[in-house]
Amino acid sequence: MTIRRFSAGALTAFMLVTAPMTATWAAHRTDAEAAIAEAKAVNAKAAAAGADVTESTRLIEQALELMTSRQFTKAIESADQAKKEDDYALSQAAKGAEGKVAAELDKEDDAAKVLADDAIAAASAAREKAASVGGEWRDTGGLIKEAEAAVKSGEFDKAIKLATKAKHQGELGYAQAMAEADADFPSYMRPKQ
Amino acid sequence: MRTRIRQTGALAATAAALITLSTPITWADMPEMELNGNAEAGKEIAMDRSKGNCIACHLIVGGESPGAIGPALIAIAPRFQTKEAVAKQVWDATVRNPEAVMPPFGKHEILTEQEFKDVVEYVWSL
Amino acid sequence: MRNTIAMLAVAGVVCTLATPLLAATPQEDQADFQAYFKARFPNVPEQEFGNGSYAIDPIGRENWEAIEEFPPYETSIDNGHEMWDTPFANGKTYQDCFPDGPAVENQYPRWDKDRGMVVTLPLAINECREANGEEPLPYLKGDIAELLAYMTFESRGQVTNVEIPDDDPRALEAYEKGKQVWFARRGQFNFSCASCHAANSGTTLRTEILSPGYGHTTHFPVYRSKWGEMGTLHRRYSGCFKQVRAKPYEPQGEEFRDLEYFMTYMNNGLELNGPGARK
Repeated sequence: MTIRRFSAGALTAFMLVTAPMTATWAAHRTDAEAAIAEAKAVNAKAAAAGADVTESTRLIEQALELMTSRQFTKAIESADQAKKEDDYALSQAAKGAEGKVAAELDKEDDAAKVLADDAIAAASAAREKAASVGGEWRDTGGLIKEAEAAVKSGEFDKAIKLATKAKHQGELGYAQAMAEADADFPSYMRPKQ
Repeated sequence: MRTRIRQTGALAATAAALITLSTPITWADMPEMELNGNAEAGKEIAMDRSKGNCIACHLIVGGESPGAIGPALIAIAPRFQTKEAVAKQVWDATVRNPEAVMPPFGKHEILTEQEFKDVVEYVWSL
Repeated sequence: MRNTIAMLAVAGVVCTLATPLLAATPQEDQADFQAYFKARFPNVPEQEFGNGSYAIDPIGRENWEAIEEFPPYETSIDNGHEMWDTPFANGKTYQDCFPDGPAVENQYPRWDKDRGMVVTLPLAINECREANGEEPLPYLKGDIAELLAYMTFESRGQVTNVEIPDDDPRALEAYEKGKQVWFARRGQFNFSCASCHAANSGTTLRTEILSPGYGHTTHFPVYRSKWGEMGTLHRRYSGCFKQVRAKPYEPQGEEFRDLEYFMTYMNNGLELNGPGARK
């Protein structure tokens, strides 16, 4: 039996390739664990401040479940969304303690939230109208869900952008379905006259 | 600082919402815009499956595994004459040919306004 | 010279406008549909259309023929056979619902006059199950695809023969609705089925050859390498819809059943050759 001697160079090359690979893989799991830990910390604070934490708690549970199937990136997304929502809820609760100046800012936030809610309502109506004629597009529902999540984390500008895009999709889908109502054989598929 | 950012943010949101909610948009026409995109960025969009994906249907010199559904994207300037004509085609190809299968990249908001400008700049350069 | 051109132009416009005034019958549609693809692919023998892209792509065909030596759908046929033989909890079997046995694929889709709807084989299977106290099976994949694989295999060689009865105008309406679904542009990408499978059949989308619409329904359910498992026709419909960024209709809902009715009628005359294997 011959014993192969690996050159130091070959060994180094091998480790230079595999070590970072394993490190990258390991970093994913610890990243996700860190994100979840952060989310849990803020979640606890928000709950203690009396905020409604049903949605964010659900997202943290979702993140934990995703960990068991090693979907670390998705777990981080859920944990981050939960943290955003609880951060926002905490800031709202803190404003209550800050008195009159806070109340003024609150009004502007409320105004922005109303606009976001309106945009989402308009998008939902447009989506339903498209669906009623079989013209709904693939991503419209998803965009509306994203907009709703953005409202929950206080990102009203983002919510309005997403909802507006969804509304356009609903309108375009409806117009498209109506225009195609009589779709039939095109001229090129009929025999030449 | 935090308060000022929130103020600006809320005001911007209000302005943006008012503009988009109130403007009636005619979907058929391409809106006025300066066609000053970045051709390098446009090339990426043309080759990206989740963006323009022009390569899926059009031969582009330098692109990998092109499709052959649409005409090759070469000699664009002599064929289209103006950058605006290219832009209108990418916006909605069915205007020029109602039976065109090319997706309406502008009209259907498949690309963002910036992506649209960039890809037009790139195609114009071919 | 200019007058002649003007006259010809007017004549041309009048001719093109006059043609659609008389609505085509399903028989005329079918004749035009099949003639179009035969003209587009003159070197493909008629029954080969049931093999889709492999009828027009020599390299794809080589790979496919190699795969068919040890077909990936064989296990599914065996599983489906077992399902067919296994009685329900109440002691009855599928044979009681399908007295002609498993080889009944070319009896579907068909127009059900009593209920005024198109009935497909998967729908009939689930109605059989529910009538016998069993849970209906999900329509896209899994057990239903396996049972269909068995019934389809037993039906190989039967000739597609969808009927549109002329004593029920609702049947024609369902056919027309299905036709409209095939030819209508949809989704963010604004594609119709025809966009890829008529006008551009045989051309390449990146490196994929687009299959002709003629022959689409003969070989389902299909083992698709991309899925790593069997899938039904309505699963492929759903996938196509999503690929053009449209929201798919319900599997075995009215729209997809009407679509299947139209598509299968267009393929009348083609032999059933399922279950199939595809890329």
